[in-house]
Amino acid sequence: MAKANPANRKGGLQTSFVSIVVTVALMLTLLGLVIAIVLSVGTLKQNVKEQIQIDLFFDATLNADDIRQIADDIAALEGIRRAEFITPERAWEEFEKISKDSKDSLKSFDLSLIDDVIPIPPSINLSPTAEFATLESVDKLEHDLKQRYPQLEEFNVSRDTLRDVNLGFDKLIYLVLLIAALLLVITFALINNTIRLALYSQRFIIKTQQLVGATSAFIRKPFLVQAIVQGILAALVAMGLLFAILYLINNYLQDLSGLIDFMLMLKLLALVILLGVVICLLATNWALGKYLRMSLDDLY
Amino acid sequence: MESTEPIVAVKKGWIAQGEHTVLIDVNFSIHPGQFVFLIGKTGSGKSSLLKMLYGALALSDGEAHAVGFDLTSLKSKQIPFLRRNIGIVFQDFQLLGDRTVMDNLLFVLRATGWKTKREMTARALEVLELVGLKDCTYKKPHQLSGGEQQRVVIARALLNNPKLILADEPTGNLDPETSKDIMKLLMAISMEGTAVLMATHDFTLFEHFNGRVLKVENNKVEELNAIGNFNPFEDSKIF
Repeated sequence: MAKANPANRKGGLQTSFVSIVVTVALMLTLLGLVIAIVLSVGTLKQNVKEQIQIDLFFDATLNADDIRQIADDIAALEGIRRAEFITPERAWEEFEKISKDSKDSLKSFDLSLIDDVIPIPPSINLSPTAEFATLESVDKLEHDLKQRYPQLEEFNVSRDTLRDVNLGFDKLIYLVLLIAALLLVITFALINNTIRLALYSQRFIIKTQQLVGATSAFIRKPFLVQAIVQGILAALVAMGLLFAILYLINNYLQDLSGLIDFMLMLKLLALVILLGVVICLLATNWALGKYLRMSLDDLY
Repeated sequence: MESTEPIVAVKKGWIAQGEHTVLIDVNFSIHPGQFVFLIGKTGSGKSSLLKMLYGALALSDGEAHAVGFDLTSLKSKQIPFLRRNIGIVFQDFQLLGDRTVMDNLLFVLRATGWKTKREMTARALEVLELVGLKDCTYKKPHQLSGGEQQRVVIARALLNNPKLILADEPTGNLDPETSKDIMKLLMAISMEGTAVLMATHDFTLFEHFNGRVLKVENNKVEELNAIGNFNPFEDSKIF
């Protein structure tokens, strides 16, 4: 029959509200980090894929103007991000640059020209869009181009790089998704436990309403509204922490700096708020169901 | 009074708690304004019978009707509306300790579909006046005596003008003098037309107060003839 001091009880409830928000916020931060990785793996993969280059060399029957024209035609094809005509002079400059930077194999190579004739023919350098940077698409492109331009002698592309980019990133994404799924389950279990404990202090209010004839929906409503508020608050706290972490990554890890952009943060914000609200709502609804089904005798 | 439709009617009712059968072949009815004692030892099945009447326990066989609801085919969605017609006064169905008497009553009114603040306050004051506690509206339960708390619980049960009051050991924690006051109050309520079914293991109560007696024993419910002839509106010389 001893009654808790009302002041203490109120304090207890406020503490549980704050502790739920803190727990949910911390778990959402972890989850948000993994989501940020998932989202930026896509961008990273796209960046790497867009770096793939293909060189086209033609036989001597075509002059520079013909090849320039072909470059323009190819640039207009579907799946081609850019196609550029490379003059022999520019190709030679590139070649010289590579030779200077290189310390071993090309070091002893004699770079003096005979009669000022550049031994590199004009060519086209092109990059497919990220979407078309797959082995199949590149093979098909080679086949199509060779049919269209019989003078095309060489189609140079590093097929190994293409294979690695596609397979490697897919494996990485599966691994990260697996971690994300595991984290989601752990998050839900922890949050569910916290909310269930917090609702325990409200079980008599729930029972009173049931015994006087309140409908289940009426009893659930204020708790679910509170769960939404908790979810949103926790998501905002989590986003604050995530912004801070991503800001640090952006500043101190230069290689990754281009990956975190405004759109990514916007998607992350939407996802974290959605996850926060859904997790809080589900856990609250679950715990409420348990107390609503419980008989009066089991409450003590 | 017997000519009116019964508020509660149970025919060949079987009640079970899980696998365990509690009551067999229960037959009784209660009419408006009747005061009925439900007596029996602790664990005899009194509470299970009450639970069945307010929809917390399903009837495993037989027929039962209460306050216009068919309990045999009661759907979970109907339970809240059944309970709005029944006032519950249980020993362990306490007032909410974190709010005032008035807030306890307003909370119940809101939960049972009342919308207008003015009407709710008026009804709360009305029931508090009925139980003689109009001056205690802004006190918290812990500032009231046990008897006063039980009066507020009765006031809470009366809020929605129930046709039936189910009371489970309402005097269980009270001293004899306070018990007598609570009994007088419940008697007065029944005389106003609300049927009262009161479970108790205090056999002396029905010797002093007028009412029908149902005895729960050996999984059966049977009617006893009551002694006593108490009228709460007359000065009692019994105690």
